[in-house]
Amino acid sequence: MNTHIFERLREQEFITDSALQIIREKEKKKLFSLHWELKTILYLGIVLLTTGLGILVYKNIDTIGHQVIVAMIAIGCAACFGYCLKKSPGLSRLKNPVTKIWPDYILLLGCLLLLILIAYIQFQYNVFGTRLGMATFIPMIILFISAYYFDHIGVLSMAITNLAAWAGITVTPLHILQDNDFSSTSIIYTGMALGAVLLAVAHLSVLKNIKAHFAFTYKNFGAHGLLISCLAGLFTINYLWFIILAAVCAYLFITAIREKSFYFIVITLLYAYIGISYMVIELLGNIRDMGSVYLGLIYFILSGIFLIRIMMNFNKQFKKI
Amino acid sequence: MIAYNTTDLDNESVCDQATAAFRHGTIDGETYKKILSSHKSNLYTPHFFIRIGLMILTLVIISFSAGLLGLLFGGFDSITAFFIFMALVCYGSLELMVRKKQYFNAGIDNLLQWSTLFFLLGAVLINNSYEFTLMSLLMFLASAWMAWRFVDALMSLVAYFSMLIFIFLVYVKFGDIAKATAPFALMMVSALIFFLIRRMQHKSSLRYHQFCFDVVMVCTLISFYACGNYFVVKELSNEMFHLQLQLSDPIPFGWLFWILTVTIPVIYIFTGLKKKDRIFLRTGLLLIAITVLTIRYYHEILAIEKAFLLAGIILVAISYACIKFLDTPKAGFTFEEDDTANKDLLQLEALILAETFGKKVEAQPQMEFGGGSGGGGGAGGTF
Repeated sequence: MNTHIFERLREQEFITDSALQIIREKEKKKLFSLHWELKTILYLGIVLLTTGLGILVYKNIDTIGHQVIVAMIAIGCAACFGYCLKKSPGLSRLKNPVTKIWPDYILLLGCLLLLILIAYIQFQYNVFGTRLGMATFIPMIILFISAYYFDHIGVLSMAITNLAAWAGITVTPLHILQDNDFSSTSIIYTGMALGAVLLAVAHLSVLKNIKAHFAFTYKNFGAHGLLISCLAGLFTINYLWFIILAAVCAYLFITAIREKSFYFIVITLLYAYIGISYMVIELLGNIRDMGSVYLGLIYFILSGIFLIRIMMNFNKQFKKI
Repeated sequence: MIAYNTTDLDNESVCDQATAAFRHGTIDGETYKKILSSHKSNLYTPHFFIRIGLMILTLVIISFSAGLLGLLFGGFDSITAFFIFMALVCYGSLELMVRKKQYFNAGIDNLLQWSTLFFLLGAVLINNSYEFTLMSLLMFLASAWMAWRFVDALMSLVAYFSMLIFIFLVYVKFGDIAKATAPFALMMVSALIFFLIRRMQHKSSLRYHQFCFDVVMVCTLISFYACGNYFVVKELSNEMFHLQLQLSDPIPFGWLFWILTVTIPVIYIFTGLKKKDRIFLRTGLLLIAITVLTIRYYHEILAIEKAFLLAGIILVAISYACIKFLDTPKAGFTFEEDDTANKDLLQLEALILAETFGKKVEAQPQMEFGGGSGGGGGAGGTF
């Protein structure tokens, strides 16, 4: 804290002498926090360590043998989860009041090892055969359980990503993947469904007060998934998707205003802007004339200014409260 | 000369300090509200996410305006003239908007500053692309002016590095001796500016640019190291003066550069810890990593995986030991978090607190160590 400012505030009689004295004392006794520095070093160390181990294993795979490696990863994974189970305060509906650094990191490590383990045995022994869905389904379930049991948002994000991968693989027939043909529309519908489900879960978490602090993560993934699928539908299928996009944006926008969330207001406005601009360009593209180019440029300038005004307006409204 | 009303800038920092004091419980809610209401600032700084949105939209507007103007005035003699025209347009609208609406880090003003520089750069580079001396001089003048006028830290960073490049380019024109001593000359320049800032930083007439000075200070530390770094010196002189040195070829005074490469980061870290100076400490930590990379580039002491393993074990051990050691604060150091996270959010939160618990927050004259209330928390889910 800047003592000069408080000295001036004292002169103007905003604060009392005793308060100024306390501030001076505190400034003198202030501790130098090494939190950020030490945490970064720790994180870097873990990354280097695991990378080094990975390379070491990769280089010596002939002498070590696959069974040994699988066993080692499995033991490491089990150790991590065991440690977390021992330290965990147990399942609860609410947010854990204290979060400890070590169990958090160890849990993350355990989850990463789990994913590596499953990928490894699938790749080496083809355990799941062509049922790739199973290879993503099992870790997904474990990740979701750990996220809820240990109350870890990072693991929840991993679980949701896994869910998306599982849904994508499950709806995509194998031959499409092999032919590298991603223009299939089924993936768009899956994205829509997944986004809607995630938004519903976000809503329910708050409503039923089950890990309400997870709601933002669900909503974030859900909103982006839904909106990207809508845009993809608009670009590749037909203009009907514009109406769906508008409806989704309207819903998200209304909830964002109710929750006073700047983040969701900005992203829905930008997604809607992309959709509308696409429609305008398509419309202008039909007029094969130089005039349409000018119109397009003017459209972008004016719409940009308009949107800036809208955003500033919301900023003002929320600040008042 | 500063584009903003200086009372506004002062009031802004008073409010920040009052927020911090209220959060620490040294002043009560009534006082806090009174300070806030009597130190109103007209500067326009919207919420973080709104700023990003405004930035994207400003980029859209500027690029399409450039397209439209380019089409309309298709008769511009040269593309250089068009770029200069665009730079002037951007700067003009920046001045206008700041004067009328007091935008201060609102996203719009930042992007207008960047695009002014971009068009200026384009104007010089697009036709005769070897005018680096002129370019760096122009960049320096423009960004230094904007850093001063709009109190912008990023502009001060650009200004510092373009000045360094300009000095380097002019200096090496003096011949072979100059080329050989260029690293030392630039180190001197860095050191000079460092000490200059050290002296100016605490002048109260320069208080608005405090953050700019901090940023330039980090830059001086980095450039001082970079000019003594073996890799930078060797590869840059190789590139600039077409020496065609091989990987294992020595350079004159090589041993000196190796000493500098290794010792400077260590000195920075020790200075940082001794003086409790975060700038030195963090820069030193960053540069240690670069030193390690530099050494490995020329001398493959260990196989990569062993080097990774060793470094990882050392880092984990160091941090583990330090975290355990600082379980209770020692020698003025602590592992507790500083709660200077998100300024915007803090002020809003504090205001709500002041509204709900208007009564006096008891002032704890001396907090026991380690008894962190855990109130600092994070941003939580409230975006």
